[in-house]
This record gives sequence, structure tokens and C-alpha cells, in this order.
Amino acid sequence: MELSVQKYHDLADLLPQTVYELDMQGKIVFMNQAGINAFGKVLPSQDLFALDFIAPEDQQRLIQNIQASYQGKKPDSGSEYIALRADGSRYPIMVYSSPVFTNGVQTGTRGIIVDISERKAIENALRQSESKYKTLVENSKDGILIIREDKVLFANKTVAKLLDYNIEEFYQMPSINLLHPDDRHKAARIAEKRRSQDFSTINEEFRMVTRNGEVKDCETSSTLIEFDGQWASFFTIQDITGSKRMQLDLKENEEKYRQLFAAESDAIFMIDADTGEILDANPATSLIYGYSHDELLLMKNTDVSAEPEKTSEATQNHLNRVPIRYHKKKDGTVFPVELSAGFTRMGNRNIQIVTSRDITDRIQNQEALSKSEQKYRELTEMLPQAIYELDAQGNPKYMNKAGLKIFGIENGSGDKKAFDFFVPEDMQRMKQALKMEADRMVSDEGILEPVPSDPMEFTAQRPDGSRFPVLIYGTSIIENGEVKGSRGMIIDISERKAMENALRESESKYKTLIENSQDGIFAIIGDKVHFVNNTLCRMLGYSADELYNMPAINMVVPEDREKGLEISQRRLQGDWSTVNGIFRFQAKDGIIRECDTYSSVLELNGQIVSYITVHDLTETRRMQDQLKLSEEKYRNLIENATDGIVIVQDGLLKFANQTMCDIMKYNLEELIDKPFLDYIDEADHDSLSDFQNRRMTCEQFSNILRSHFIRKDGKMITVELNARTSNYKGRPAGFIVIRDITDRLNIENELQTAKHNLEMLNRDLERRVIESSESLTEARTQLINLQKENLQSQFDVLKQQVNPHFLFNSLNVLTSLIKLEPDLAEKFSEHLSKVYRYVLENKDNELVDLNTELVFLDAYIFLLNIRFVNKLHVNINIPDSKRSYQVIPLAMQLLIENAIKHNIMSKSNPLQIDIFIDNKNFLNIINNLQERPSQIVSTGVGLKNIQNRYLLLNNTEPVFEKTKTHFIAKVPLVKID
Amino acid sequence: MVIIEDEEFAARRLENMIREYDPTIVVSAKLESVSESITWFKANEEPDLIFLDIHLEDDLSFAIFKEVPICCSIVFTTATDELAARAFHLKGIDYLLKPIIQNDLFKMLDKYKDQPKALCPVNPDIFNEIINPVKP
Repeated sequence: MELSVQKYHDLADLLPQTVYELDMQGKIVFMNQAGINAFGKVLPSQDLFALDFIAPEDQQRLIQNIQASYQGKKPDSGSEYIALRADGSRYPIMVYSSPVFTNGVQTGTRGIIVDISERKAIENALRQSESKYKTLVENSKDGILIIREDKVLFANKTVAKLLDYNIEEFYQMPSINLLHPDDRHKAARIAEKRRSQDFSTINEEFRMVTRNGEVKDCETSSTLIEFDGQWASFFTIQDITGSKRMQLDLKENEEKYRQLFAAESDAIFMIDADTGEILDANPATSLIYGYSHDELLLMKNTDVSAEPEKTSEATQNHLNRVPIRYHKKKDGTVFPVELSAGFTRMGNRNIQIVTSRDITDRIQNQEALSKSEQKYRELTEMLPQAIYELDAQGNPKYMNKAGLKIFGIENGSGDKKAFDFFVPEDMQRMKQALKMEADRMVSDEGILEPVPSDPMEFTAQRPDGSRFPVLIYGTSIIENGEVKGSRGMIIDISERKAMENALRESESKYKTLIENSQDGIFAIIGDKVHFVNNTLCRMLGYSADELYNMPAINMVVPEDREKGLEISQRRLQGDWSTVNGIFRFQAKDGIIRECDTYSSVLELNGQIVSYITVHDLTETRRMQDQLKLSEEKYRNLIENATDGIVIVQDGLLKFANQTMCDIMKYNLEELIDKPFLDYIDEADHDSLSDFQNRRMTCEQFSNILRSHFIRKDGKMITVELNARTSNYKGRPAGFIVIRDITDRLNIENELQTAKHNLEMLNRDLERRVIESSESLTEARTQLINLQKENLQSQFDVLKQQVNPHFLFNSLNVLTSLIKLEPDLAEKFSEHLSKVYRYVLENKDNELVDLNTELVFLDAYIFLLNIRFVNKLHVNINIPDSKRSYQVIPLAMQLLIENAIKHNIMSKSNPLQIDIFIDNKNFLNIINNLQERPSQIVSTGVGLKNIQNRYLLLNNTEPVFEKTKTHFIAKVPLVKID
Repeated sequence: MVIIEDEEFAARRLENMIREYDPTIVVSAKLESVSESITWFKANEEPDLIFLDIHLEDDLSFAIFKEVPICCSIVFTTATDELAARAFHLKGIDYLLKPIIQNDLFKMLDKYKDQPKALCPVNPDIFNEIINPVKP
């Protein structure tokens, strides 16, 4: 056993790895030579523990592992630690350990320690290298793909980015899909080569396809590599889409320049300036002139010229530039050239280098241009607008006919400047405009180009002082990169201006209309007030600025806002229908105004605008109330009218008042909407229908006519219709006032009958007179008497007519007096008796004594004075000598009565009546004239009566005279012999 | 109450008779002419009832209505204007014939005792016919 241990130890010493054995305390009981060498510790003279060989940071782990092995855990496959040498240096180790058993009891562990420094170093190197290559591959400018049998085994970020795939996606798709279908055969060919172990590098262009189907031109280079132990194709991919285009561009440019070089066709001569000999010429010279290079070298410059004298002269004078010279080709063709020459010395010779350019085409072009210019000039002249050209100083160089006419300068403009054709106040602006025109030149690749300026408005002025607005479109004239002036067009915009003004006026008119509208108006964009008119501002007591941009909904009371929001919601949903609604608006001062609103929508400049008209109902309501009152008033008037009132439309009764119902004994329901004619006697139908038809054609007329209505009880009544055309519910209708004149007619009839009776009586009398005259021709006196009788009876009737009036008036006075003034009443009765006795006694007399008459008159005047206290003054001045004359009875009384009847009489303006006898023996009854404005009845019968009575007497007739101040009655006095 | 009457005694009698009917009735004015009446009505409140003679010292009393709107009740009085009286009768306008008979007056006063005032003024045009009667 001992031997065996020794053998084992010797064997262990031979091993290159460290072999060790630990007891249960972790103390090293054995370590082979390699171990001692490796750790540099001295054994076994010292008690060393395993921990002494391990770096402090790994010691804890070691203890755990050792304890684990003591607890019967399987030996691990090896653990890595950092070992610590005696000199303090460190190195990585791998420990493989297993437990040691003695007599079935674990007594320790043993194991092998391998120095893994080298392996670690290689590992690190490898890792670093891998990382480096990985970075290189991933960040390679070229895409990299490794492909085997149509499967992508590896792809780098670059190719993923190029083709817009995730790297993972590559691994799941056939690689062939990455290629343009037309290029797949090329890939197949390469794959074929690779399968036959062809290692060669193959460069090939492929069109690759991105995820989005975009095609990328790619240059690839591929080779065969071993990847994961098998062969695979390795591709590097370069996007040449950009570079390929550049190549193409380059190719094009080269082509272009080559062609340009080829087209460079100026002939260049090198000439001896003194002799004119041609020393050299370029190939173009041969082409142009038709001589070969060798031929040219034998010629002089004059040989190619068609104007040799001029050529040699120019050469001698060292002319640098000859705009046109005619040269001659070998075949004799003469053609124009432009020459430019440079002079130099070569050795001792004067050398002239002449560039000759064939300008045949240019000359032709110039001619064409000149023709074209002519054409345009003619066109310009025909244009209705003014076309002008100015030089750089602003002087007019050209103006077409239209321009001359517009500016009123057909007879020439003198030497005025352009500014002189405009009002002075525009001059500054105009100069600026011209400067701006010139400044607007755009320098593009060094070439100045005129750019038309924006049109500008000016006020032009004619020589006669009249002004008109114009619009000018100006452009600078550029020649050889310099501003040489300006040209442009002038449009007379008087009309447009007028229209603009009219439009503005119209706009202003509409604005005024809106602003002065009776209704408030506002507009909403979004939910904000965008516009308000004055009326609404006034209505709400806000200024327009305050309302502007205010949420429109804030104008109405909170209770109504939901309703408003509902409308705006509808607007948002595209409902553009007009919406009416009543909203309560709240004015700034808090007053709530109930308003009828009308909102409509329209699109303005791409915005949805709601327009709302606001009609304040407060006023309307007030007016409605007023109307109601007025209606009530008129209804009362109509209903309480004493006349029947109806409205007839289309022949139907549309309205009847209560009086009408009363007249007709129908109730209202029985009348309304019934034909009017149903209530009218058939005899009247024709005329009434005619009137009705005329009314319905809107003919305006009124008429009063009599008709006959049939009452409900069947009784016919006579009515007077007063009708006129008017408007009822928007259509013409007859408004008819109906008066039941049955009663009046009865009275009329009575009067008619009385009149008729009188007439009959008269006729009877006449008949009798005629009979008498026929039978008794000689009884003339009888006839006269009969006539007298006739007249007498007439005035008797008249007297009776007068007397009752007087009687009633007197009785009235008397009645009043009885209680008030009993004494006076007594006297009044006495005088009244006198008067009546006199009337009764004398009414049949033809004449009475003036004296008797005057006594009667005194009594009569007494009665009048009591009746009209202090309103009447009768002054009788008749001398006694005249009292024996006679007069017709009651004449003076009648005249006094007339005066009272026709004149105003009051205490302040009493009626003055003077009675006297003039020198012609006429009894004068004169009263001052203060006529009453109206009379009840004035028959004129009184005066006529007096006249007739004097006629009966065959006496002088009385005279009645009305002056401005007086009424004068002159009654003749009759003298009885 | 107002009495418009150009005959002084007639006016006084009417006033007495009214007092006799009811002593509490106040006769606020006795007027004699159209012009005087117009002035009075313009300055004073309307009475309940007017006794109005047709023929006044300066004009027919209807002229008053053309100048002043009068809404109160009116009883016309006349002694002689028979035709006018008939016209009143036809139009339902109240009138009394002079000399006024006490019984008639009392009946008239009875009638107006409880009658409310009319709302609208008397239309002066309704008298045109009386002033210028239509000849049949």
C-alpha cells in the first residue's frame, strides 16, 4: 500500500499537469513536482492549504465547491479559477477534482490542475478577431451574402439595408427572389459552376429587387468558401445605381462635347501680315473653303477673298474686326464671313491670326428677323393698346398709333419725356418702377434676362389736361447684357375703373342695406361671430368689435344655447337647409330680446358661413298688440254700426256684421259663405252680378244703389247699398254698406203722394180754367179771378206752413217762462194772442194799414225779444204821416223771420234790423249780414211769396238786394185813394 | 250734464226740469252757440249727457262734432225741425220736441241713467244728410 502510494506519487511527478490531494481540512497533503513548479511553493515542509493557491476573489467559490464534493456531489467536469503564484503573479487554471475514500470513508479530495493561460489567450485573440471581422462584415460598404443551394446562410446589415429586409427575413426566403427575374439565369449559371467546385472569383452585374419591388443595379463579386464545414457561395454586393447613372451621364457629356468639337466650324488662318501668305489653317478651313490644307499653304489671304483690296487694306491697317466680308470658295462661291483678327510676332515676322466665320445663315436670319420685326411692328401698330419703347433715359423712342391716340398726341409729342404724359404726382413712383424693371433682371449663368414686371397703375395726362387711369406692363430692353431702355404696353383702364367704382358703389350699397337693415344680421364661421351689422349691435348694445370672434352662442340666453348648438351641429353634418327659430338674445345691459331668427348657410372662400337674420319680436309684439286694439276698435265700430256691412267676394258673403244679421233676421252662420244674390230680389240680380264681376276684376269704383232684399221671414225690404271695391285677404272684394230704407221710403212715399195730390189738384184746376175759357170766352174777368184764387190758395198753404213753426217756438218760450217768470209769461201770452188774432184777421186781406201792421209788429218783436234775449235789435223809424199807407199783411214779419233764420245772432253780435220808409215810398227792411254757415232748409219761398202777392195787386214789385254787409228788402207802399 | 240751447228761457226751464227729476244732477254748463260749445268741450271733460238744440245762434249744432270729438250720449232738442226729427228717428238718435214735455224728458233721463258712455266719438258726417237732405 505504501509502495503503491509512492508509485502513484512518482507517476504523478512525471505528469506535466499539477496533481494534488487535499485532506478534509483543505490542507494540501500532496502536490506533484509540476504543481510545485507551477505555484512556486515549497512542499511539504510547510503546511499549505488549497486556498493559498487561489486568488482572493475566487476563494469563496473554491470553498463552496470543496464542501460540495465532501457532501458526496459528483465530481464536476472542471472549474475555472484564477491561481496565485508564490510571487503573486496570476494565471487561469482549470481544476478537475474527485473525492478520496479510505476504508469507505471520505478522507479528502484529489485532482488535476491544468494551466489554461494559453487557451485563454487564444480564446481572447479569437474572440477579438471574430469581433473585428464581424464589425467589418457588418459595417462593410458592400453587402455580403453567403448562399448555399438557394438558401441565405448569412447576410450583413448593408445588404439588408440595401434591399430593405430584416436580416432574419433573408434566412426564410429563396435567395433567387432577391434577383430581377431577367437576371436569374445568370445566378443559375454561377450556381452551376460552384457546384462543380469552381473556386474562381466571378464578377457579375445583377439587378436586385427590394422588398418594395424597387430595382437596384448591383455589382457582385462571388467566390466559393467553406462555411460551417460545407461549401457555400460568398457574394459581395455593391449598389451601383448611382455610379451607373453617373457613368451614363459622363458618356453623354463626352458625346456632347465631341459633337460640339466636331461642329466647331470656324476657319482659322495664320497669315503673314506683311505678305498675306497663308502660313497655316485648321481643318475647318478646308471644309469651308474647299481647298485642301496643302493647297491653302500655297495661297495668300487675298486669294480667298472676293474683295481682295479691302482684305489687304484691312490687313495693313491691322483691323481687329470685320463684321462682314465676302470670301470666295474654291468652287467660286462667294459667301459672307465675319472676321476677327489678332496680330502677333513670330520670330521676325508679323503674324495675323484670322478667324473666319461663315455668316451666310446669319445674314439670312437677319433678313428673316427684319421681316419678322416688320411684321410685328405692323401688328403692334394695329393693337388697340398703347405699345411704347423708351430709351435708357426715359425718352419715348416709339409708340404705336393706338398709343398716340390714347395719349392725344397724334400730331407729335415734341421732345417730351415719358413722365410728361403722366400726372406729376405719379412721376416719382414711375421712376421707381423703371428702376425696379431694370433690377428685376435675373442673372442666370451670367446672362441678363428681362423679366416682365407686375403691372402698375398710373394716372395718365393728355396735353389737353384730361386725365385717365392706365395699367402699364413694362419690361426692360436688354442688349448685350445692358439695359437699353424699356418697352411695354399701356392699357386704358378708365372703363375698368368705372366698373370698379360701380362695383364698389354697389358693394357699399349692399353694405349700407345690410347695415341699415331693420333686422339684425350676423355671420358665423366655425362657432365664432364673423360679422355683425349695426342693427344687431344696436339691438344688443355691443360694439361690432366686442361681438367679433365671440362664440355666437353667447349672444343668446343660456336656456336657448342647446337649441343653437343643435343647429350648428346640423351645419357641421352638412345640413345646409335654412332654419327658422325663436331665440332669446341677451343684450349687454341684460335685457332679453325675443327674436325670430332665420339662418342660412353658404360657402365663402372655401369656408362654411352661417348667415343669421335676427328679427326683434319685441317691437312686433307691441305692434301686434296695437293692431289687436285697433282691430277691436274697428270691430266694435262695424258691429255697432247702424248700417249693415258685408264683404262679398266671388259672389259669396265673406263677412256680415251684427246689424246686417238684424236687418235680414238671419243669424251669422246662415249668411256666411252663402251666395249674396240668394238674399236679393231676383229683379235686381242682373245689375248686382254685373257689379260683382266688375269688382272681382279689381275695377275700383263705388256706387250707391237701391236694391231689394228678402228677409228670412220672407218680407221684402228696400235697402240702399253703398259699395266700393277693396282688398279682402289679398283679393278684390266688394265692401258694401247696407241701409234699410224701408221706413224712409215710406216717408218719401207719403211726401210723393202729397205732391202727387197737389199736382192732381193743380191739374184739375188748370183743366177747369181751360174748360171755362173755352165755354165762356167773354168771362175773362172770371178767369182772372180763378187765377187769383189759385194763387191765393197757394199762399194760404204757405202761411199755414209758416205759422205752426212760429207757434211752436212761441209755445216753447211760453212754457219756459211760466215757472221762471210768471209775469213775463202773462205778458208773453197777451202779445202772442195779439199776434195770432192779427194773423187770423188779416191773413185773407190783400192789404192792411201800415199802422195796423206796425202795432202787430210791435207785439211780434216783443215775443222775439223774449225768445232771443238781447240778440236782436229791431229799430222801427216810421213817421206818423206815412202810417196811412198800406202794405201786404205779414210782409215785414216774414222778412224779420228770414233775417233771424239766415243770420248768426248773439249777445255780442246781435242782429240789427232797421225798418224805415225811403224817399221813393218803399218800406225798407234792412239787416246786417252775418250769414249762418249752414241751413236746414232754405226754400226761398218767403220772398217769392211777397213778390207774387204784389203781382196780384198789379202794383210795383218789391226789390231784394244783398250787399256785402247788408240784406235790403224794399217793399212798396200802396196808397189808397 | 250740459245744456246747449240758444234760447235763454228754454235752457233755464230744461235745467229746472232736470233738477226736478234728480236734484243731484249737475248741469255743468249752459251754452248758447257752436263756437262757445267748441271752446268749452276743448277745455272741459265730457259730461254724461248733452241736451243739444239743433239751431244755435251761430250755426247748426252738428258743426260742433267736426271740431271736437264727442263720445257722450246726446239728446237733440228741436221745436220746428220736423224733418230733422224724423231723420233722427230713423237713425235711432234720441231727440225731444220743444216745448219739452216733462214726461218725455223723465223717460229720456231714465234711459240714460245707467247707460255707459259710448266708446267712439259722434261722426259728424252722419248729419250731412239732414243738413242737405237728398231730394227723393
